[in-house]
Amino acid sequence: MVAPVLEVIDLHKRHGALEVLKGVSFTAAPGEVVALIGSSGAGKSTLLRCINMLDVPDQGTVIVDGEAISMGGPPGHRHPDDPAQLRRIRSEIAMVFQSFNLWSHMTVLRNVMEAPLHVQKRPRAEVEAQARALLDKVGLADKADSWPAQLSGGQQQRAAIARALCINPKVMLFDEPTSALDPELEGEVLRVIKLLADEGRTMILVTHDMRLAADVADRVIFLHQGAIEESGPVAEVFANPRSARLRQFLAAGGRPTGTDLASAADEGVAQA
Amino acid sequence: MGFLEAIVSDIGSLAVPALFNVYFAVASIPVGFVLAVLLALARHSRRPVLSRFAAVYIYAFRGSPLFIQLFMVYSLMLSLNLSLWRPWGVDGFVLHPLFLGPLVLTLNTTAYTAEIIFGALRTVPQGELDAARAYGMSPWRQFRSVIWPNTIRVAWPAYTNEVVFLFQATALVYFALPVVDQQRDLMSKATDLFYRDFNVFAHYAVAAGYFLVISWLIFVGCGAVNRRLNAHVAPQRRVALRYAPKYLR
Amino acid sequence: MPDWLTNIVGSDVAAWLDYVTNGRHLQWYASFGYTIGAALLGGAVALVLGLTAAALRRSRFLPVRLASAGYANIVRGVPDVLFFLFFPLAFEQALEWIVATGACSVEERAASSALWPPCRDANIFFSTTQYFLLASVTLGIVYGAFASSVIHGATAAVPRAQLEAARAFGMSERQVLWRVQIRQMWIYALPGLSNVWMLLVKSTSLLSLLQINDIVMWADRLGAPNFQSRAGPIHPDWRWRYYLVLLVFYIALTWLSERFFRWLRRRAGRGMIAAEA
Repeated sequence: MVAPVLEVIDLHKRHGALEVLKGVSFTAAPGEVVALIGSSGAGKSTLLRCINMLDVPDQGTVIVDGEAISMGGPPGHRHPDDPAQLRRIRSEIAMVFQSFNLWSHMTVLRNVMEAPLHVQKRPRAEVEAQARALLDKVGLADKADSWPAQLSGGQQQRAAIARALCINPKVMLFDEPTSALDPELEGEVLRVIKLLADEGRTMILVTHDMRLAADVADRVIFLHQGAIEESGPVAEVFANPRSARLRQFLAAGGRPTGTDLASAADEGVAQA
Repeated sequence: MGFLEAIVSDIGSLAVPALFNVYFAVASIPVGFVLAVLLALARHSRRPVLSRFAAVYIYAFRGSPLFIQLFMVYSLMLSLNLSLWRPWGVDGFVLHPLFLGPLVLTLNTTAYTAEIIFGALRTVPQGELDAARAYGMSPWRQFRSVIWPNTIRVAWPAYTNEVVFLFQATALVYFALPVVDQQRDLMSKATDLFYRDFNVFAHYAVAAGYFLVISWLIFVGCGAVNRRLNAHVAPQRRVALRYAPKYLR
Repeated sequence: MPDWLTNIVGSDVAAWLDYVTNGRHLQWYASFGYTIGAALLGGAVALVLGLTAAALRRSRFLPVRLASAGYANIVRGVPDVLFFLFFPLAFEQALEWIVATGACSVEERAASSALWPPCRDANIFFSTTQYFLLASVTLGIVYGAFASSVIHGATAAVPRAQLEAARAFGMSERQVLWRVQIRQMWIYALPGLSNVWMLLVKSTSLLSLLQINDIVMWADRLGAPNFQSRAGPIHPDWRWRYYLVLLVFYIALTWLSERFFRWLRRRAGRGMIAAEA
């Protein structure tokens, strides 16, 4: 077995009284695409944001390519204690956000070049060549000098993916990359994500879109109320879900209402 | 002497005094801007001591009249004259209006500008900040790449007003500080001329004209900067700059 | 200072109390009334002028609109201190000119060596009260220009749909204006009016330039080095201490005004703005 490129061990996170993550562990092997699915409020996005410490887990460890993010502070209130190391590790993990979060005052090209230039401190000529190549790859070669506000949502998200690729990431984190998009714009982004999966990039993908998960993921993790309810190879999980909650979730098209979930919980059919 | 001749002759005799107002503004605005950025960051800081200090400073200087601040600083400096300035041999410099004026104006505009920048700091989109952090930017890099460009764009229209206001506030300097060697600004010179021939309409109108024209020039210059700052913003979301001096202060 | 009080607080404190309650200090304290009075009176004038100018700015006649806009923009475009000096002097000269048309004969005018007034009979001296009123009105004129801009903007900020709804129910244009637009205008205008009030309060520090023995003038007199022929020096230059008191006074006034406007805004905005913590 190859060493995992990302290892998440026993993450806990609370927001006040609400326990958002209740001890989540998983790993991703090089080239593996892991889809995180679950209903709203299951903790998917928080889990993703804990991986690069945008949200700081109260407890637990994140290991990227064999190196654990150094944490300090008392148990239960831990925080990253080595800013330089955290910055270095973050510059190896690329994140694609639900609302794109392109820097609005920079052209598309500068958005893509900003982190490689100023965080990774790579030579400008090399970065610019790569950035242009990546924009070409996501189909935005002609938009390099546009401002983000001049692009459609789908174009913005593709630009954000080019920005993510340009840091040559070891892991890519996708936080609901298509849910802020109009249905007719989803397709262009989905194609790019699929392309990346086929290239063998390691990706963690939070999504509502079961089609996307089935299409690109190798493995699926179903989160429910801050814990992993079920996980396994994508074909197996979707074809043959073991837990009642996942069955219900899938039956509802992946977007169950709150009452559906509550009734599932009431039935007490949760599996260990 | 007819009224028109009086106007023409005043335009000549008030030209040099206008330079004193310009000097007061030019000597205080850049320093005040730098200090204001630091103060706004202190106010925005998560450290209670820094934030509290900045809040008190801003409140005190925005909550009291510039006129009193001028008197206060001048009399404080005077009372230190015998113990400090005279022995050090710097009294001629420290007590000179051309030093004290910009000093007080700087203290004053720092507070107002810091309030403007602090307000703008809070409008930086959280998502863009998240992205900066997620890509491993250091705090300084986040400031340079994301926070500052957003802040200055949002702050600029209000800051333009502040610059115009500060320029107009230079009119107060010589009401509180002594006139040295016939060095007079617009207001002081206009008042001086008034007591010679009691022609209130000519002298003050010309002084007002100078203020209006220079304020307008400031506004045009700042407007050009504003267009650059908003180049990337979709037309409907652009921050418009309208000539409305003092309104926001 | 009564003896019983001296016994309680000790002679040092008693001497201090004696000092800060002497006649000149009492006059100083009384002069705070001028400042606050001028602010209130000036504020009232500013509000009336502001409303009037804003209303005239919507007039059907172009010259009226232009005059109103000109008033707002010119007064705001020059430093307040300039207008403070200009207006009372101009007002006085205008009065003197009117008086001179009746009071001065041609011979008197020719004989008068002074440039102004035209003759001695036309010379006007204002009383303290008249100067106070003149100063307050000047404040009102300056900040009325500001207020008119604020009110003009706020009137335009009322959502058009609200006005259309009123028209749909058959209200006349006058009813729409008074029953809906102006009622809602206050909520949009209050933050701006609060700003204008703060400016006005601070500019009351300029009253001494308008021939009024205000708090600034008294602070200057009381703080100046003080000698008495029998007792010798009483205190050296204490002016900055007196100015410090004034600074604190103005900051307190600002703080009080802020609280007042916050309360007003909550009241005026009932149902329209979410309650602030």
